[in-house]
Amino acid sequence: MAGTITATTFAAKGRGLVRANCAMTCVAGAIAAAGIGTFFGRLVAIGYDPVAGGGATMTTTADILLTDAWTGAPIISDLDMGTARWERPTVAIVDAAGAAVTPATTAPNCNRDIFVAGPLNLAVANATTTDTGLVSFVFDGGN
Amino acid sequence: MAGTVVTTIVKQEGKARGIVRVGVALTCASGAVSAAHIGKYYGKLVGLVFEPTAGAGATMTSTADVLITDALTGASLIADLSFGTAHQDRPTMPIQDSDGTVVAAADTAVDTRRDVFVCGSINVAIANATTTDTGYLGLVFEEGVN
Repeated sequence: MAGTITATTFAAKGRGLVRANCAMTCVAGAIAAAGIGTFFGRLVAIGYDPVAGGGATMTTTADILLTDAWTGAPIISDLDMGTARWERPTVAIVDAAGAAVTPATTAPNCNRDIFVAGPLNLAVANATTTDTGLVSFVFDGGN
Repeated sequence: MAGTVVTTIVKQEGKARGIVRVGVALTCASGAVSAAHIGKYYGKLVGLVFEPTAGAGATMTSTADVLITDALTGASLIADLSFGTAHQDRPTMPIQDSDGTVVAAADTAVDTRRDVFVCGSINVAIANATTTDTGYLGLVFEEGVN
């Protein structure tokens, strides 16, 4: 007898655009992976504010790590909290065998929007002592 | 024990409005307008309309900088350094990969600009105009229909 697979389906009613404002406070220069909520859709913007909060400014050494909570898979691994800025994140595509598609004249469109579906965790590494900051994630949850 | 993350969720209250245009009448003092709140918007910024001769003051020339920022973070959304002549723009921004590195446009990377999404309060400021210049700035958002 072969093994088994148990599939559990998760879906959400579209919420339109949703923004998660994450106020971060480091201890010993880090934050362990913490749940920031459950989101469904495209991650269409990330806003960084390294001076938010009452602690020291979160500098370019600070790493922002957004992961899928169930699997621990990295979604964003930004190694530079840096200055206040607004980004439009994408991810490199892979082929049907899971191999990264290398940009070439025959493969000219190799970055696509990042989709999430489920709970997300946020962690910070390599900050300094009790740095504080704010990072915003904007999700297009559909209609 | 490691640090903490406190998350606050922000989304549009009520129904999405579809296409929304906000008209911003600008009046400079000493050639500038400090960052001013123009409202809350939730969607794609799909148009910018510039009218440098609007208002009773002097024409806002190409030296005037239009600075649109996310109010909460202070992050720059648009930094247009030439108010210039009456024109309409379709703004976009460069993409980053998942480690935050800008994807450089190349023959092999041909789709490296995407729509600018906003979600929350927006500020507008003017810099490097002249004395009491006046002008009009229109921002068009596509908010979707929920």
